[in-house]
Amino acid sequence: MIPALQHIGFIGRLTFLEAVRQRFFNFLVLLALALIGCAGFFRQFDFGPQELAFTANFGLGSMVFFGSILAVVVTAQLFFSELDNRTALTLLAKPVQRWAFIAGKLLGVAMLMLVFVVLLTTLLGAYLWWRQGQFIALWHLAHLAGSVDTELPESMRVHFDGLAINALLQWLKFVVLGSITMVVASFANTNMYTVAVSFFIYLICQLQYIALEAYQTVDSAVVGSLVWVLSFIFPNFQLYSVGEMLVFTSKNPVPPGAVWAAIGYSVVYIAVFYGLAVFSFLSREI
Amino acid sequence: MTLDRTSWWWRRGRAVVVIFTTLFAAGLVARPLQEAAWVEVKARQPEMNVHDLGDNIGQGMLLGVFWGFRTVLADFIWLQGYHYWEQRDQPDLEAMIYLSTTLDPRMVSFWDNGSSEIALDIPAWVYRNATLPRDQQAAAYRKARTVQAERALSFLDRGLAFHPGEFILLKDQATLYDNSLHEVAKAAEKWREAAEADDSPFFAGRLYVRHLLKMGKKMEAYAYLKKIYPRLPADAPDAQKAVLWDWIVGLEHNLQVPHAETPQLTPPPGWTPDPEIDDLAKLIDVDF
Amino acid sequence: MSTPAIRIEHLTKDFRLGLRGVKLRAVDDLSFEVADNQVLGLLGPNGSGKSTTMKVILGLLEPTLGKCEIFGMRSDSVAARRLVGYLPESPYFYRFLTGRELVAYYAGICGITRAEKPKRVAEVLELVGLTAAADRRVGTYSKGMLQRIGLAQAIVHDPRLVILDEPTAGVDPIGSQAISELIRELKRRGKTVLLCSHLLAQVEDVCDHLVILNQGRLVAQGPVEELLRREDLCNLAVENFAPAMRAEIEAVLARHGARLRRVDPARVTLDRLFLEKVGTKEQQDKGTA
Repeated sequence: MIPALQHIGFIGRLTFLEAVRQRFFNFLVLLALALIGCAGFFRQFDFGPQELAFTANFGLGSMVFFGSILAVVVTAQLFFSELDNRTALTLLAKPVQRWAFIAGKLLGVAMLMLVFVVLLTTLLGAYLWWRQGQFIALWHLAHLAGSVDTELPESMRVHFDGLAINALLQWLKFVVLGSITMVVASFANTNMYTVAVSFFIYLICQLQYIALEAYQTVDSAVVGSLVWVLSFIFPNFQLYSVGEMLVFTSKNPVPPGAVWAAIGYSVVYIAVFYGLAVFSFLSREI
Repeated sequence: MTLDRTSWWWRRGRAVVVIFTTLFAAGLVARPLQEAAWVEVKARQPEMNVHDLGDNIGQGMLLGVFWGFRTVLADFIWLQGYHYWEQRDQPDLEAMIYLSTTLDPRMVSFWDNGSSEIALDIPAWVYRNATLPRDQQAAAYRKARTVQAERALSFLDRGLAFHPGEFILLKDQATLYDNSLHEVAKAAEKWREAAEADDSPFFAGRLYVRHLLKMGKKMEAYAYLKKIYPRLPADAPDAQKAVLWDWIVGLEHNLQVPHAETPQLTPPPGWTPDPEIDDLAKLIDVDF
Repeated sequence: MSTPAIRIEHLTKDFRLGLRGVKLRAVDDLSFEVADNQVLGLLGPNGSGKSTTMKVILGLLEPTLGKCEIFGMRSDSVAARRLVGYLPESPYFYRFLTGRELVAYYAGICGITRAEKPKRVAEVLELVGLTAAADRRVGTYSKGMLQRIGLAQAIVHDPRLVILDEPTAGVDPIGSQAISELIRELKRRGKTVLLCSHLLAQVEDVCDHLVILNQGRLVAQGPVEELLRREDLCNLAVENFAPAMRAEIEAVLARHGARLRRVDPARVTLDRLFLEKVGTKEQQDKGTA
């Protein structure tokens, strides 16, 4: 087992090194960082302390948008570059198990997405921390002058632990998405097909929550059964739309149990999709 | 007929069956985890009906909504609204305001700023419309203020459905009733709701009292003052306990009711009566 | 008798094409063995099944029928692949790694320990003549250098069987000569080599045995000398031949029942001429040996 783990480590590390050199990754990261950097532009609009919520939404949304694209495109690219350049031939002719090869590729993707999420979250967090400090100071002065009754309310303050938890959940979501892409890539013939189908599956996963509830209200038993089955087959990606809830306090904060459940849910699906990718790849003729 | 296990149909069919069966089983196993998380997330996510988006959202943006980028799209649409604001394009501005609040109803500032733009900025454009003759501008402006105020109130009602008891939105409604529609009773009701909201500032209660007095409801005002006075913190200058005690005593004189001093209703330390205490109108600065 | 390096028995491989499942038989009932410490040339025109056969040997494809073993183990087993080194055709490697890093990567994959790795990597780089370029990125390598680094990664873990697919494709004659010499060195070190190449002159030069495929079937196999020998003819190399001698020689041959078929001037091969003109002294010496 240990040699296999070593193989996964070697392949994962090389996959990561290859991925960070890809122009597409660097371009998307720069774009995402630039968008977050543009948050300073929002000061022109008089949102008041809600500017923090607006900026956080913008930054978290950018991370989700670019991260989703990255997870799908880079996974497909890293997989097919091995096949097209025949480095997969060289590698699989070595004493490497196919499941270790897939695990190594997925590990590389996971490491890449971790770097992406940490980078963006750190930048966003740093900006919010700085800007919040300004708002706290301004609000304090206004309170001393009697213009407002209280210090900056809790509901308008950023929760940086919530930001970190959100980063973890988004990373897990990207790894799930990467493993879905790996399943598609394991039987697809082209990069383009893999990317298109994976994005389509992503869309279905975003809408799975509709199937979750709809089957009870559908008239036709046949359609209802089909919808019911679909609600089990695809994971529910709406679970990960918790950024704003975690980063800003509401009267009703998200309980830790729900966060742990989402983490467990992600781990289950990563394992399942990984297993399916291996199953499909085992019979693939290279 | 023997089964050709090397045929494309057999191999692909087998793979499809295995994949879907495995995913179904995974869905069963993961269902408790999903429900534990989803129940909490759903309760905190605003409902959105696709029909509410109307025709203002393009197909690309609709796809973006389905792909989970609601809040980012809402932010972009809000920013786009500023462009239409600069162009003084009322239909497009209102469309952007409605669209961004539909996509992301959680942003209180969207409702707050949006209602101001609808109620105040748009009528001002009418007033500054140089194509109208000067003698008609004032009338057109007053009409626009009334119409837009009604629209803004409906808009804020939608906002309050997502943010029940939100002080900022209630304050906006009260201000509209006061300044745009001049409906004292409705304004009073909104100030009362605003005063009872969480984290509401102390002045909201005082404004409610003023409105009650404008409507001639002195007894009600007196009862309300006695209700809120004990809750005011002694060490908060903004609470203006001394002022409110003046009002209580002034109303007692005006209504000729016995002075109600209880352990909860005591004057603040160092209180001295206001010289205007017997002239209610001057004391509370209300036009009866 | 030692276990053969490769044993293929009744190997058949079919590919299903498209939805209608049209069958393409790439290899048809192929059987042959490669003895230990042999250099085997696997020849055939394009589409003859060479690549398919090699992929079955490497465990990358599953046979439809038949079996393939490497030193007595199933060819698709991980244990068998530990004994095999493979240089693919037109190798492509990770351009951002240096030569040393690339070989070290594959050394790690093949189970060479961290302690042994630097020494082993240096040895194979020296063997393939890439020590000077070891710390340059693979992306800057010429075609010949890529072939050599490919060879290095194939042998870094000291495999018993080395499979080379077109190792000299696109390489100049000097580089090709160097690779031929490497193959001979591998044989001297006790390795078995399976060489697949369209450069028949090179195959003839370095291989002991040949297997020739055509349309998925075996059409010839055996030692090179035996396959190329013509029983009915022999060559004589004559110094100072004058045309006037011809009649006398013919008469002598006729007395013994032989016949002079042809008199051609002796020629050097183009490879030898090229090496003489442009190669190093060492290469020239080897070329003229």
